[in-house]
Amino acid sequence: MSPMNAHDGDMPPVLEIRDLRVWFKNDEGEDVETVRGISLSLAPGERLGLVGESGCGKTTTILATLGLLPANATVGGQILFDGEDILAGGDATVRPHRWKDIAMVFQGAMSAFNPVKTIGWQIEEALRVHGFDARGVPARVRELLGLVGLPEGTEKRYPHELSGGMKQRAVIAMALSCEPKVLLADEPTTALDVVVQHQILQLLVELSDRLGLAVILVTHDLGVVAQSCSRAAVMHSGDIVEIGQVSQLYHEPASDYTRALFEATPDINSVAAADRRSVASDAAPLLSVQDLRVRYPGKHEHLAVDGISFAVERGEFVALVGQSGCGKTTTLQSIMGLIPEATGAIDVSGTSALSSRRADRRRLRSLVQPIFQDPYESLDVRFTVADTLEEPLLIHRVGGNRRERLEVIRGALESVGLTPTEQYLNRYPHQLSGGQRQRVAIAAGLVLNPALLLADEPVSMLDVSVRSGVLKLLAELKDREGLGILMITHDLSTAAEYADRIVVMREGRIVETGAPDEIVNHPSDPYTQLLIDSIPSPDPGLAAA
Amino acid sequence: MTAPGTTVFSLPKRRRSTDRRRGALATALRQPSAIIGLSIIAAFVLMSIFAPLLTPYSSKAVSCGVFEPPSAAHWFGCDDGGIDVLTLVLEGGRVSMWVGFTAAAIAIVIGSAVGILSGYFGGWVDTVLMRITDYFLVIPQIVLMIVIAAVWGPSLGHVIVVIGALMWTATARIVRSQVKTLRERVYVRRVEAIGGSHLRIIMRHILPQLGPLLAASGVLAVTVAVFNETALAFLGLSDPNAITWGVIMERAFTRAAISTGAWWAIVPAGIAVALLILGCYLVGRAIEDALNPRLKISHLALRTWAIRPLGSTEDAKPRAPRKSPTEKGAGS
Amino acid sequence: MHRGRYIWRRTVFALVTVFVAVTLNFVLFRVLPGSAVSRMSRVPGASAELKAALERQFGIDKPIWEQYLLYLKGLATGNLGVSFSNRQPVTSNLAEAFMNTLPLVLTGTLLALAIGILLGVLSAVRRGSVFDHTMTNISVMFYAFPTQFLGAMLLIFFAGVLPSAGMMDPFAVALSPGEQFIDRVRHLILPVATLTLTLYAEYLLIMRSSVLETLGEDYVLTARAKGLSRGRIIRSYSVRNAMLPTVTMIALALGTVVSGAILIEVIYSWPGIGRELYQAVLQRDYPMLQGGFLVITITVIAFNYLADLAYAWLDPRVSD
Repeated sequence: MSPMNAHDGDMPPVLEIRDLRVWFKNDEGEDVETVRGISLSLAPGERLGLVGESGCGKTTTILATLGLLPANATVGGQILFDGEDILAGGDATVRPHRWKDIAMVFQGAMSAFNPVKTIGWQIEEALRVHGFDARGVPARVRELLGLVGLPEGTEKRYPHELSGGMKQRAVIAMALSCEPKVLLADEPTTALDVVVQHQILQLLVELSDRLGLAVILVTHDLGVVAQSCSRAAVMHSGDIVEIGQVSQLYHEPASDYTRALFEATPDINSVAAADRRSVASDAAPLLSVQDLRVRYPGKHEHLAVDGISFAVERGEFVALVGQSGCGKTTTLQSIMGLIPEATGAIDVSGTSALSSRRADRRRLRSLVQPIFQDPYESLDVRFTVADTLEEPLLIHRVGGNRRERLEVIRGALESVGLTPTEQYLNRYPHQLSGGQRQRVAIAAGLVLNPALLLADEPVSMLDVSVRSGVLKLLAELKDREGLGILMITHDLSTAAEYADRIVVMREGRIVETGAPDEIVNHPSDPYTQLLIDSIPSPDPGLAAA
Repeated sequence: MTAPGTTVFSLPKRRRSTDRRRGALATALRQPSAIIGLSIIAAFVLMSIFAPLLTPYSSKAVSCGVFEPPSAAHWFGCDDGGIDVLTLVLEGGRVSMWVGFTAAAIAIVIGSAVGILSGYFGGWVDTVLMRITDYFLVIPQIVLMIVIAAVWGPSLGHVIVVIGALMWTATARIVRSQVKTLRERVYVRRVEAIGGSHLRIIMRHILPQLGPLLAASGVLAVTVAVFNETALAFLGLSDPNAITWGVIMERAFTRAAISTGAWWAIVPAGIAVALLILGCYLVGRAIEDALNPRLKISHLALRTWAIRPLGSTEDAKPRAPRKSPTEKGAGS
Repeated sequence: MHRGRYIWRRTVFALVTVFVAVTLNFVLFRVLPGSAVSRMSRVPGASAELKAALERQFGIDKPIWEQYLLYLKGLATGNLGVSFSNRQPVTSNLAEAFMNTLPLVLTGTLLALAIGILLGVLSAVRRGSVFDHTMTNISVMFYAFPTQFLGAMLLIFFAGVLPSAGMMDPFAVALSPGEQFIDRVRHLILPVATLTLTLYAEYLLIMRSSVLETLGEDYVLTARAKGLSRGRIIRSYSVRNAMLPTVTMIALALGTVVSGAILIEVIYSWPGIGRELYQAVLQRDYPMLQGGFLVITITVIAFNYLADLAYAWLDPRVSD
């Protein structure tokens, strides 16, 4: 399966996966093969990336390595640790190796800890169970927490008292407690903010170097792999399509799939002063936000948005970038008129979004259309595509009868590229892929002929290869229909690739506004610089600072 | 944006659950336990509909001796007044089930109204309604029912209203928490953002999603209502003129059926109650379990994953899973 | 850190609930149309002087709010009026009955909790096994039996073997203290068995599904990756976390304990508070009914409050 395992070098591998196959019994009782005979070997101290899109079998692979698959799984092949097949005797032969030899870090740091025990107790437990000398345990716990940069006293705290980044550090500390030789890290940074993500990744790399720890890093993000691993395996529907040095994969990928994956990954470093639309018209802008403030009263009174002003022109794609909690979502909701606490002025093509008049609100509802983050949840599962698209028309009483409405619906489906429309009209959401669902959600906004689209992280939950399609569609809609688009995102590199203008927000304020190449290449604010530095580039030659 | 609190494991899980919610009720009702439960309920409903045709004797007139044991003529024997027990149980079933289902319906209507208002609008509406619910939850209902029934006087109507009006709290809580999560669903927010009215959102997007949940809590409410009816009847607080299962048991008990050894005067009614409750419970439980995605995965199952020996991978060959023609319609 | 605030809020809630119950008690008996006091003439066998005494006691001639204040004042001094039937103060009647109820209800509930929780955990961790199926099916069966029916069946089966009525043998006065104790225990067996069988099924099913829910949690997977043994994961992870919803649900199921206890006391002629309530209903003894309602309600509120405290102790996350 892996003819070009380039690392058949000097040292014997610490971990070797040989022809691993995994079948899952589905509800109909058939075995479905999700991992189709993959082979990998990991040298001591080596960092290997396992890359692929959701459902490709990468998580299953590492769960199988540690014998953690559910009961409906059947496993074939061998997992060799130091040359010994640990899978041969089932759970019984894997267990002695867990944590002592092979430890694991899960993506769900939020829920990886037992919520009713302290962090210290849980690390101690691992030490005690694996026969660590009881007298040294408390000191060892403190040492471990120090190793991952957590302050003293963390061992006495409960999981819910730590932030996401701190929890992930604590998870790593726990994983290192028994001095394993191999660490399996499953999307260790995905749920975290980009700056924190960068710190955790650096920590992992540093610890692996210092402790001689071999790491398999499972991720969907090529940038993460390029910045932290020397070798990578690309997985696609249960097979390894390509394995090799990261630089080789980046510069001369042998497989089309790898190439497509790299092409779809935006690279912040390749943002050039491209021919962006410089929309400078004398007419009033489509959307103008003046001195918007949102103060949430109550026990935890705080200023979510602190006096921001910006504008979006017709036919302009503006990205509002910032980390979670920076106020970008509140801003978006204020423009939709959903935040009664908002003060200041928001004007959408002559209509005030903060007005409480019924007629204004009604007009606003058809002028401004939202696109939400999660395409799996943005459609009612009991509605067909046609029903979903008809609903806004019914609400706003557009079209006299179903036939007229169907005309509008067909038009909208065509403009989002779901053709031939007949194929889609009567489908239910579960019969559509993620990208198609997001297109349907966009079409549901378009039927009302809006002037402004408000997109809330429209692609963050989609696979990389689908993202560019949806973003290109948005860019196309803006050019073709003259729509204004305001997109909020935490991902500066995506924003830089598609937006005409970028607005960077932090703690309720705008820190910087400008064209993407200016922002990326000549940021004027240190926070913007920090954001840029935190983004892992898919080009392994460009080390993140 | 809040960092998506999803994990590798929850992501595919959630997708699957939204996909399948369409058929949650249908899947649940295909479980063997649900089929047994449904059959029991159906049998009881049929029996009470056709009770007048099925009853062998009159429930008013004496047809045999006092506490006559079961015989070919009187399958379940006779009670202290020489009345055929089978006839009593059949007729009592009509009234008991009427009480149970009506009271449950009242409870479900009140409970879902409170739950929807509370969960959908949140804020002070939620605070006020949930405070009221909390008080009702804490105060022991059976005692309140006893007091109200005692003060108002015994009548079937009172019993139904009292049971129904005090039993809604559990439904209200479940519905509220479900509506709260539905409220946060992206498609609900989307319809809200395009200007859909609250009424529209509730009727078109929220209520239909609650269907299976309401069905489950409805049948479970029937069990509680029937229980409460028999308890009230046993304490002499049911309508003295109506025969219910509870009344049959109460009469048998107060008229010394037990010390006489006339078990047949009490057993048929007791078993009937138990069977109906069993049926409702099995159905309600099957639906609730099907709705609970957290029951679907277990990291600690008794059986662990299996090993397929290396050699056998060839003959298994599930590489390109292709359904046989007969299975084609099974699922898409 | 927030625990103090949480406990304070639950305390306030419990006190307010007591107040609500007290007021409800007043409203039910005096304000509602067709309520007890306006129907006092229907009190069976009431003499003219009793009626006059009642009117004085309830202050019927006074406006409602003044009656309410009078009622609260009476409560504050522990005066719940005089029973119609035995002319004793309600308070002393109830105190005696309450003390009789306690051993029955406490033993039955604790036994049911122990059995239910233990079997619930075992069923959950052996989900799908023969043991699990047997246990859940048996408990669903017991769940479905009405308490009075279960009691009657036990009475029939154990007629002559075990005493079936009262708390002790009326002729036991002559016995030695040790024999008296054994006599009392023998009288307890059937009522306690009935209560335990009524209650354990619900606890088993609650515990089983709470444990099952934890088995899919990520922390259980992490615990397995840590190389912990099955038993350890079940103890420190599953059961420990499953206790949280279980405490809440068991507190919510206290109503079953109350109704079970009332029915059992009636069946076994146990001179406890439930039987007092039953007698009060039969004789339309409103002062007793009122008093019984208050005592039972306040006890349930108190146990709910204890459950809240237990929750705060079990879950480090409690805040608002």
